[in-house]
Amino acid sequence: MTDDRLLELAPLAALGALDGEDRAYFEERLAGSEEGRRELAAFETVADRIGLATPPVPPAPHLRRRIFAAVARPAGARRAWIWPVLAAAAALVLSLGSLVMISKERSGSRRAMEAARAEADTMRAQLQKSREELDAARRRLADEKAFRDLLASPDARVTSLAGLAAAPQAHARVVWNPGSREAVLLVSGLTPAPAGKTYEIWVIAKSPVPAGVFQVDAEGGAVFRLPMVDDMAGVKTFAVTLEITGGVPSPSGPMVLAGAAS
Amino acid sequence: MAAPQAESLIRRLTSGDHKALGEFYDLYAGLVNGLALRILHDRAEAEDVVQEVFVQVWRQATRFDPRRGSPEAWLCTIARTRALDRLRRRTSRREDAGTAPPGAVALPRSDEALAVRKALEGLSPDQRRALELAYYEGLTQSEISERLREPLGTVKTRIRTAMIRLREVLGGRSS
Repeated sequence: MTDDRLLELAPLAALGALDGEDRAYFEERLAGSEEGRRELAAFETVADRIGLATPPVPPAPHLRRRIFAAVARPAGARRAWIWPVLAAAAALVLSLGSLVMISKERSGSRRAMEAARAEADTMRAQLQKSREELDAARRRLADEKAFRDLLASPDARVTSLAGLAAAPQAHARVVWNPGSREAVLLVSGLTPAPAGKTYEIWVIAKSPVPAGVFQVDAEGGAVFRLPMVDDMAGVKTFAVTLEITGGVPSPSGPMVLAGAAS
Repeated sequence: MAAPQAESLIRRLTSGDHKALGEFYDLYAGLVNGLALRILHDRAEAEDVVQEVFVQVWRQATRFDPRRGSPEAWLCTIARTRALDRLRRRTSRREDAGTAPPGAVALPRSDEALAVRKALEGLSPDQRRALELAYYEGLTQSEISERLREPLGTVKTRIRTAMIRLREVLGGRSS
């Protein structure tokens, strides 16, 4: 069912201009409305561009040197491996192209064509898989980088989460920065969620704000980067509950981990 | 400035190419500085924001998502967030909060920037004022209502209408 009020608030939310009851309503209903999330995303791409209308002002010449000095510390070493993956993907694209040409030239032989097609399909599938692996590797890299930056930050805080009755063996930590609103959850000893279920983390300042769903690996471990939550500076508690796949807007399943941020 | 060139610069940034950072900076430092100055009205603070933005771009270039918008729009979003964070931490304003920041040059450069500027000029003055208070000053709907001494409902309608109009004119992702 269309939630007209939610949709009307989306353009204001995209600018960060909601407050009071409207903001509470919007945040509560958004997770449950795909239409609402689509509208918000569309208005966010509009909001992202408003600043482009601002007249540019050249900064002072010394600033360029200052920025280069700030990035001078080594950062590229761990990125080197990404290029072999890209090169492999490019090689696959090239061989796919030549394969198609060869198969055209030999159009007399239908069997050869079919074999070539099958091989092309296989290579296409491999290419797709390489692309997905590359995307996953890029995301992992970005997560690792964010985590390292977060740990290195002097403002970083660490909150321990203890396993509750539903998961007594579980333990977790949230490393978070109230200023930058970045946070990473590290979990161990948590049983993988049963089929159709997922773990969901909550940032609780005044009321629980959903901060993403995650799964644990076979060993019961997980590293999960939380999306930026507005009330991060005022957070009182971090908690994890077991919910249906996809997550829910407010906690309804059993709580498995919780810890007070002090 | 064509977006594909900027996107290829971002790809080079993800591989740790310092030269790409220099080229990226030369293209966009004016845009980021202009926006930070418009929000903060303080040259030193605006320069701090410019530094933060480009260091963040260097470290987090992998986070750029071309499906969400152009590199320029991405930079504006980062710059606005950082500048508004500083504005909110401040207790009092520095320099005059006029609309033209010191040192502004004539016009923005890219086609996308010109389209956004034109779209903003197409709004009614009331709509534009309310939208700009939200965008450049980071005010919420109630704060804008107080500032303008207008009913909250009026302010919400103006901003909503302005955003819908911009969405119609600018369409989705431009490239």
